[in-house]
Amino acid sequence: MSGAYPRALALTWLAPHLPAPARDDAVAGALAAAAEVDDRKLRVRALSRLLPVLPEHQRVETGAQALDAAEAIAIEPDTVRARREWHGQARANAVAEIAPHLPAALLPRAAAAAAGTAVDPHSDHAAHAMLAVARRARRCLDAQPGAATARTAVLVLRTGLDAQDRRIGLAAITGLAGAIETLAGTSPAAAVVGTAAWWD
Amino acid sequence: MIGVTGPDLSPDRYLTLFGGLDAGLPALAADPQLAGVDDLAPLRTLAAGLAAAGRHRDLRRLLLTGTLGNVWFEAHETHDHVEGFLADVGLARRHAAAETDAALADGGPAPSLVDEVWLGLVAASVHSRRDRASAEVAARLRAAGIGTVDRLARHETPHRVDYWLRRASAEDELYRVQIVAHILPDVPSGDRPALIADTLEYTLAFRPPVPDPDPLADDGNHWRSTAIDYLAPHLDPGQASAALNALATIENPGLHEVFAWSALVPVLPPDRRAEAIARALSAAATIFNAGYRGLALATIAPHLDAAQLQRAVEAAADFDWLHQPDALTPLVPHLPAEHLAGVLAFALGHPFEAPRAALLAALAPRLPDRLLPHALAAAKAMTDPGLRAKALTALVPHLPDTVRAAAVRHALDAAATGPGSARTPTLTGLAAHLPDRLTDRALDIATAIADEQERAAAFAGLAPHLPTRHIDAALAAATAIHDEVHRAHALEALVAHLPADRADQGLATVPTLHSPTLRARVWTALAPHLPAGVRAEILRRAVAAVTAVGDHDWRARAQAALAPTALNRTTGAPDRDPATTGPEHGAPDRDAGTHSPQHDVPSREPGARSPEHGAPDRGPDVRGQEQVVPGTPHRTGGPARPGRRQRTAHRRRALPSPGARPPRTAPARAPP
Repeated sequence: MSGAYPRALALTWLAPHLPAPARDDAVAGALAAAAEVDDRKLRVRALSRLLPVLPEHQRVETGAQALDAAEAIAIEPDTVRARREWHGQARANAVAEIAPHLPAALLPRAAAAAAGTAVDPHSDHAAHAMLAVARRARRCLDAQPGAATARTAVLVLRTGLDAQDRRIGLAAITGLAGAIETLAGTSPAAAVVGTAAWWD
Repeated sequence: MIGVTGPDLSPDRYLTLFGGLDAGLPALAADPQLAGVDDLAPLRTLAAGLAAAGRHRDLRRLLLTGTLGNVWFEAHETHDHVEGFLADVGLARRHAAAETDAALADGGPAPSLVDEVWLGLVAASVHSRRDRASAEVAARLRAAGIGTVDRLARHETPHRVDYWLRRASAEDELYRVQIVAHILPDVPSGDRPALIADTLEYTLAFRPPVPDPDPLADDGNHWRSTAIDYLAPHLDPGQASAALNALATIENPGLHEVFAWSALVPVLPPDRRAEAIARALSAAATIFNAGYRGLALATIAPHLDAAQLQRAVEAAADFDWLHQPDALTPLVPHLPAEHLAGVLAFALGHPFEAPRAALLAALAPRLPDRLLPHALAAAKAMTDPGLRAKALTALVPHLPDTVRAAAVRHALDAAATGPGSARTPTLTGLAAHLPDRLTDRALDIATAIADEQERAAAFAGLAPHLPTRHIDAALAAATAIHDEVHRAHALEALVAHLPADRADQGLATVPTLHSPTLRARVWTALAPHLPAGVRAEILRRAVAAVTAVGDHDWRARAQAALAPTALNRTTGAPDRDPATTGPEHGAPDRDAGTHSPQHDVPSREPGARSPEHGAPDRGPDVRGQEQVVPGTPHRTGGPARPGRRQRTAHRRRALPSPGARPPRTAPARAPP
């Protein structure tokens, strides 16, 4: 393993404590170092740590890079089922790791990535990833109420409900609990309780 | 030209035929076969017809409200037309989504978003229902010769395979290979070669993702060797040769490699077996740890010829007197007969009782009659009661009848005064040889075991050999075990050996278990002893119980997150069916505590069971089971489709009433 990952982490940690010109250099160095990290899981981690430090205009591009890396974790077809499931869980963990730092514009894509990690129906990893994305969507809506963030929240919710796994749908509802009530003017609690009978 | 007139496909004709939407389609609810009229035309056209007519509210009522969702789904399911139901739901979802988008674009509230949630969860539920069952119960059903339980029979093998594959930890690669080996007998024969080939390829190519700089760290070789050990019985000769080649490259072979070589021997081509045996023996003989060396030698021993076996004995004896027993004991079952007297003499002369007891226990099945009295005398003379019980228990099955009963009594006495850990193996080992007059004493000793897991295991061991007169006491003692898992273990074993005329007593113990899975275990153990009609009902309950375990945790989280609104609704809008406030809708699963604190505690509604009681109760299971006694058909179990009727009744009770959708003007209330 090269030193790119620890270099990226160190520069990320230093950046907020540096004066402006040096801070920009540190952020640029951290971005460059993160791009050099070969291991995609570690690259996702480096980029997710870096996202909160970045200025607003850089977050979409860097967040997209992090999502690229998360979605590319062992994406190539794998003939061994156990390995496919393992990689699916690794992708889910990566999405959950970056979700809290993503800008709203990337959340629908993150939700699709989370739902797409449901390789293993007996694992909760995809639901946890969806929960992280949905919570982020709710926070974006709380911070910046408006049509765009509302649309984002609805898209995240629909992606969760489309996942054909109740847990992922419920995770999306859980993460967006307050937002759904705000947007709909009523609570989805009856739906959660009522459809329990479908499962039972 | 002759005009051809088809059936009237208008939605209202079918809705009227089914008893009317306002009334809840009672005719269809009573007889889902009714939907099969006109070559399934209602199932194919009714929802689409409503949508085409712009009657989206009626479509929503058809799919969601009250009992209608269940009735419509049941109709589709009855005719194996679930895809059609999903298409109907998709139709309604698209309309709701369009309404939501329009409302949000206008800046107003979008109540149709809740419809999207309803419909999305219904669709997800239908998908999820297809893929759940308990492998354990399936295996038990199969072992009991009962493999025709509704849907479970259709999905038994895939579920078993999926369950184990998916249970594997993502980080533990070895566990995954182990699981593949475990489930291979259940994989359809056509898929088996590919799965074996894939897994072997993966095993042989495996390298740890991040090399450990520690030169002493496992570089993946031991992992690979153990994986080969698991896979070996399923390999063909060519694959076994490839595995042998991979093992040959390991520089410092040890116990793991000996296991792998030994497992490969039976499946290797004949001309390569000698190589594997020689490598295994050579590696085993140089293992430094005495216990491991003995284990390794014992593993390869069945494949050794006389000269090699002599070398193995020498390797096991190549320790000082303190460590020799560790190496010799595992090898005892494979020792040439001429060595037995010498090993017995070594055991009797050993100054420590623990290795002496271990050697005696290992020697017991192999000792000739002339040596047994010496071994018995040595066992009786031990001062440590636990070790005395261990040695005597091992000797009892091989003793002549004239002395066996006395030896059993000595062993029971020793167990009663020895440590608790000695009692269960003693009782289990003696169970098949207990004279009738000593069964009371054995049951007393089992009942007095403090550790509940050990106590349950003792009951399980005694169960097959207990006389009928002890059934009441044994069931009562097992029911008194506080821990539910251990209680189920004991009950499962006891009910499995009940005579048919006492099966009702076994059924009566089931309500003491709260976990659906544990209940299912006891039910399936009991099932073979029940009359056919009751057995079918009990097995349906078992299947329903285990398949119901699934999304409780996530449901509880969602309900917890939505709790503030739920509080508003319970105080401001009396629209909730009391049936939905039952414990099945609020309590978390046992493992809920493993999640983040803010999602740990779902709303504790009145009547909800406390979390320490495990999985949420399934209402009808508990309410109904006491009505089931052998020879008496369950009152909800009609002769045609009893399971379906019961499930439908459950869903009707659980679903909100048709007016359940919360009013949009519900008074606001600050979250607690």
